[in-house]
Amino acid sequence: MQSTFYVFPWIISITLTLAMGFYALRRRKNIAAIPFAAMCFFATWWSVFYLTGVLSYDLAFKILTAKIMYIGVLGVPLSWTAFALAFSGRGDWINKRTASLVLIVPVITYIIVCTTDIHHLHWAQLSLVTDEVTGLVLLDAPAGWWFWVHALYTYSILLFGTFFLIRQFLEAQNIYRWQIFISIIAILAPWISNALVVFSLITTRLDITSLTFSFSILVLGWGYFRYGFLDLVPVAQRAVFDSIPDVVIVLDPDLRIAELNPASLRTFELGSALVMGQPFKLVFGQWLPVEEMNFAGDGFYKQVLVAINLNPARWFDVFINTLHDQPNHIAGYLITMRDITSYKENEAALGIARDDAVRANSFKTQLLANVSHELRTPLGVISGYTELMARGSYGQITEKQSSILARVKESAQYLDSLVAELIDQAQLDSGKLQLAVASFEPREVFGQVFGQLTVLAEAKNLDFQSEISTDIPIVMTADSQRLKQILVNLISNAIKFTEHGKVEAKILRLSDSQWVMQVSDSGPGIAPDALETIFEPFRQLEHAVKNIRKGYGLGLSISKQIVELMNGTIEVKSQVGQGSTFTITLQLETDSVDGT
Amino acid sequence: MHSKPLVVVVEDDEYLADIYSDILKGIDAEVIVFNDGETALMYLASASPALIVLDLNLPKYPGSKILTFVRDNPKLRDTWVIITSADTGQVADLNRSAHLSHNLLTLIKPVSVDQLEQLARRLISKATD
Repeated sequence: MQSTFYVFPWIISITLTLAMGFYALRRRKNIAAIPFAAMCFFATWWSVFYLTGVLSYDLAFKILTAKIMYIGVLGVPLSWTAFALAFSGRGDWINKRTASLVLIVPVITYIIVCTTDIHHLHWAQLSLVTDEVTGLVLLDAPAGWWFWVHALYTYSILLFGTFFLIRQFLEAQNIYRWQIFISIIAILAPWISNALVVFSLITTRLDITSLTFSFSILVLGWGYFRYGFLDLVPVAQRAVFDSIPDVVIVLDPDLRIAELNPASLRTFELGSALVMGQPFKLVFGQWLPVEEMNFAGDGFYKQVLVAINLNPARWFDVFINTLHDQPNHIAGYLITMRDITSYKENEAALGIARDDAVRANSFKTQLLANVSHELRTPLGVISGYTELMARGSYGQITEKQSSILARVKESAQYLDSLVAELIDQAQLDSGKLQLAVASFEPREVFGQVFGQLTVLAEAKNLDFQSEISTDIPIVMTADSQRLKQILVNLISNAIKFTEHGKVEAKILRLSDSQWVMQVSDSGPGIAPDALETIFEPFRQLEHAVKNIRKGYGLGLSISKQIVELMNGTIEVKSQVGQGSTFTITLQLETDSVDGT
Repeated sequence: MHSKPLVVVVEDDEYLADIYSDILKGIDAEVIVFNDGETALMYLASASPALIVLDLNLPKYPGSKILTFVRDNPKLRDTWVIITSADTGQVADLNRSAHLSHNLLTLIKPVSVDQLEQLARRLISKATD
């Protein structure tokens, strides 16, 4: 066996091409990965058997390895061309029929190679020769006429593949041009080296073609790692363009149609052959009111209503962008159009719904104001005349008349408080109840309430006790009318439902930032199931005394909602037979004035 | 020339206007009643009442416009006005304006006879002092 340091380039190339082949196989989902992997394995085969032959002294062994090696020699150009076709988007050209045709010459070549020592068609003779440059004993195999047939065939298919790569290079966007350029450089190397060997333009008899093919493969492999060749083949660019659902029209710098995607042809019912190269305005002017000036600048946007043949008009977002292939050089224009008809229809529907809601809300506000006025005005007439009559303003009245007038007045007052609570509830429901926050003196306001309700309590022989804690501020900031309303509601409820004993009302300071209104009674208490729903609107409590006017069940509900509007809380504790305590906790506003 | 203090009542409801008039006459005031805002405005342009009782919800000519006229008029700027209204929201809106809420008190409908009587007596007394 011959030993020489010339083996090292082959050993390195074998290792690398084999590794590259396995790497490509891992990417086999990509259409270009499989022919690339095949190229790697064929190149490896070629190098392995060429090296094996070189290292032997034996002629018969050298001839044998040369024949085996030729599988690689035939396989590399075929797989290179298949790779070039797949990479340039023509992978569908590779099928059983075309493969069968393409393989005719290589198969015949291989048969001739294997039988060449009989007929000498491929290699005219086979002998040993010592290479003057390397000192190695090599196989001397001058070319027979079939060699040249095969060489012509091989160069033709290599040229065929290279042609499509070069064309891809010229058509590709900048992002892909480096990929194609690297591919061209990679294939030129073995062309050159093979030509040098075939035409005996180099002095050594060592055939470095397999090495240069390995070099090509490594360069391509670097391209894969660096630029992701197998991750994004340029063919995907076309597939992406064709699959865009929006209308995409590409114009040249003269505003003539250069490209249309299938969506644009479908939308405007056009035949591409008729419109390619035509002025944009001539074809689309009837649908798209886009002026030439709109192509100036960095971008144009407009919402356009387009009336398309045989269809109802549709709304589109129209974008026009300028395409540059170099700085300050316009390569063309890109028009994209997105169908926003559904969006516009929804927008219109929402607009109508919004207008309806605004009108309904405005109507509700007006209705509330009208109802309030229309109910309270006649109530005022009833109570006004009743009061004046009871006073004797229209003449002396009898005791009986006085008693009747008192009942009329009581009923009018009941109706008035019902109207007030219904209107409050309606305002709360519609979010229209607003607190009138102002400074007030709690002792005066709450004192008035206690004074009025003491009379009510005394009428039922109830002991009414009230307390305003000394640490309650002199001046507080809140809606005093609403606080009065709540307190009156709680105390009058307590008096209404208590037959014996006492009612207590307290205004207490809880902390620096909180205060409490508390009303408790010695009434019958509230059952647990009633406690759960006591603050719900229109909930009425049962009462043992049937002729008590039970109320309409809004007072506590409204009180709770108003307390919550004030960011406070209301809770009730009660036990049947032991009375009830209602506690309202409220925030003390920061501008309340403490007594000193 | 009025020997008794003059009170102008602007109220479109006849019955309520009658009740207010009876109450005010009961405290020895001279009462002039207007059932519409336009006529009231024409009168107030040249009058100097001690008190105005004004309904906010007047048809055609809202009470708030009459109030604005009163407060913008140098002769009437300090005249006390009792607003009667069923709409607390409307009253709250008025009270937000310092200009309009000057010398202004509110009675929410239905107006109590006692309340109107006591208030009117107090304000007339202030005006005539």
